[in-house]
Amino acid sequence: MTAQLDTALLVAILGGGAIYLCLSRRFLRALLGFLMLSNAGNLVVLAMAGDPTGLRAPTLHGGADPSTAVDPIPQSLILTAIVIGFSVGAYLTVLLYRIYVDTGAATTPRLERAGTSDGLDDGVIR
Amino acid sequence: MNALVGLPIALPLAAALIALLVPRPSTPRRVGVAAVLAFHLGFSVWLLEKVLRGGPLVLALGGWPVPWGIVLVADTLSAVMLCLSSLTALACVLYGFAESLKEHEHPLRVPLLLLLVAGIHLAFLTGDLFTLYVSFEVFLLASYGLMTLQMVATRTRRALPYVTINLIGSTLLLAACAFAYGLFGTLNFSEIAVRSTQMVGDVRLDLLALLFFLVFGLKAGLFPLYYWLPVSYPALPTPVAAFFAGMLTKVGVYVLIRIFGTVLPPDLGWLHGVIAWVAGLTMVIGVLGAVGQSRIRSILSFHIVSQVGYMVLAVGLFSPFSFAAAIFYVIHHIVVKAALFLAGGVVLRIHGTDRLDERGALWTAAPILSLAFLLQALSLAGIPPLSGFWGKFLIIREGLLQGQWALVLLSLVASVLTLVSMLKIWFGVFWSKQPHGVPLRLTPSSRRMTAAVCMLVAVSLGIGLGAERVFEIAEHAANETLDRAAYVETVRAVNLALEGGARR
Repeated sequence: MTAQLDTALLVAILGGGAIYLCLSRRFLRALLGFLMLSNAGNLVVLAMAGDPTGLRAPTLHGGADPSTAVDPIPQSLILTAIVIGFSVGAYLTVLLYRIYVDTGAATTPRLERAGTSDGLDDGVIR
Repeated sequence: MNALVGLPIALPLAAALIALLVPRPSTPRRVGVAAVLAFHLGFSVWLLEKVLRGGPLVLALGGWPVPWGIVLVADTLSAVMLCLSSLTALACVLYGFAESLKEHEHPLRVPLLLLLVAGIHLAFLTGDLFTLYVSFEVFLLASYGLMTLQMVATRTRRALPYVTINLIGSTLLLAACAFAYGLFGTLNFSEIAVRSTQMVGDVRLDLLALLFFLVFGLKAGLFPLYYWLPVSYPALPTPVAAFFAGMLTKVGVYVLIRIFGTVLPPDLGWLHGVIAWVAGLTMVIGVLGAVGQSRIRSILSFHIVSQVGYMVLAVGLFSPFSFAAAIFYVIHHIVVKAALFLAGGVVLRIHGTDRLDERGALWTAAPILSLAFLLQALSLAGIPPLSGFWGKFLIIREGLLQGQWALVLLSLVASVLTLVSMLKIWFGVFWSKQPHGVPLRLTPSSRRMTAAVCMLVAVSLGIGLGAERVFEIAEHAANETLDRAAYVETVRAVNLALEGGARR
């Protein structure tokens, strides 16, 4: 694997930005932060294929030489990871929206103030 | 024969899909789900018996040879975990059926629980790092669904820490898989085991091991990343909470045993010491959190954190005996913890609250439930001859033999504080006088719920009284886990079988 400083820098920028956003008090920014974080993770997977310069897409059409193609395994891994990241992102979006609907809070300080009871006795079957 | 290794994944998955086709919870659906889980429990015990006698079973999915394809490996440790998971699932589902009428049961609860079980079983069986990541995502998504399925408005925010911390953990796990692929050029456990041995002393290997410890420590609820657990678990419906409490964090512990025992080389220098000390702090911090709580569910949730500390401490001590102790502790803990959560749920049902200071005198109204709770509480604290005593005894013995005085002291302190907070529940809910004079309501359904609790209590008593046999199995599992050469050989042997099959 050759050094890929540009990819590493991109992962660092995405990851750093994601952490900055995740630490924000606003739900919307935190959500964007988590989505960015999963993309930074995906990029790490892709980077493990090595430097793609001068290599073909990994299709073995017409008996092509496999040594001139990029490593296909990280590509199959990233495909799985993107799908999973997307579904978890969708779930998190709905959860944050639901919390907003339930408590009227769209920031963490307001969520802290939203209720005095711990809610553990509510909705218990009696 | 080896194809049966896929059954623990296929069966719950198929049952979940079929249960989805039956749109409304009905008696036939309930009977069917219970029958599937009971059959699964029987199958797991049979598989354990078979693996104990004949060695691990390996299944190469799709007939792909080993470094390229995905393999499922059922060794003793996996089979033990499968037995525990199907037992807990059965008890929790039966409890749930007893607790709520068909009309009140959410139609998606049982299918999601079955999906969760299928994902967990994939995590126990897989011999491949990326499949491990996928299995974590499968069961985490099912658990997110279960967590928010029936949440009332005042509790939805309690799901937020669970979801966000697991999102971060999953991203780190994905990155760890990628780094492992970049470092070893393979994701297969046995091939990583071969190639990592040649890399001992390489700082990249140490960093990767540290990343694995971070990720799976987070999933197991280790200090300092345990905050999500006592926030989210008490907000769950009782049967779901009991299954989460019994199984989910223990999947993290299982993977720690697997990764550090089988996949990574035994000489990682300082890392095992770090694991042991993080675990030691987890034990004490978790139990201190429990002492300050005033609800059964919250106290029990903090105890999970503390108990996970014991298991991971045994992993950090890193010897064949301590691994056996860790596996024994996992066996003991899953059963006891699920039983305690279910017992707490019966209290919640009878009293309408599980606060310790509001009601009491359950001892006279529900003696069987009280006895069951007391037995499990004392077992958790480690009173002989109950199962928890043997678990703690084995870990402390190994700690003393290795001269880790400070860690042994920490675990003894945690044990005493566990006893204190369990007695707090006992005196608050079961023993003290009824403050308001409100008559207690014991319904037929709470009797049936108690029966589900007693099923787990009986197993737990069996573990305590038959500790010698259980420890033999745990020791066998530990030796198998730590014997990396034999693991590699077993997995590679599947290629020979595949070639033989192709020639025929």
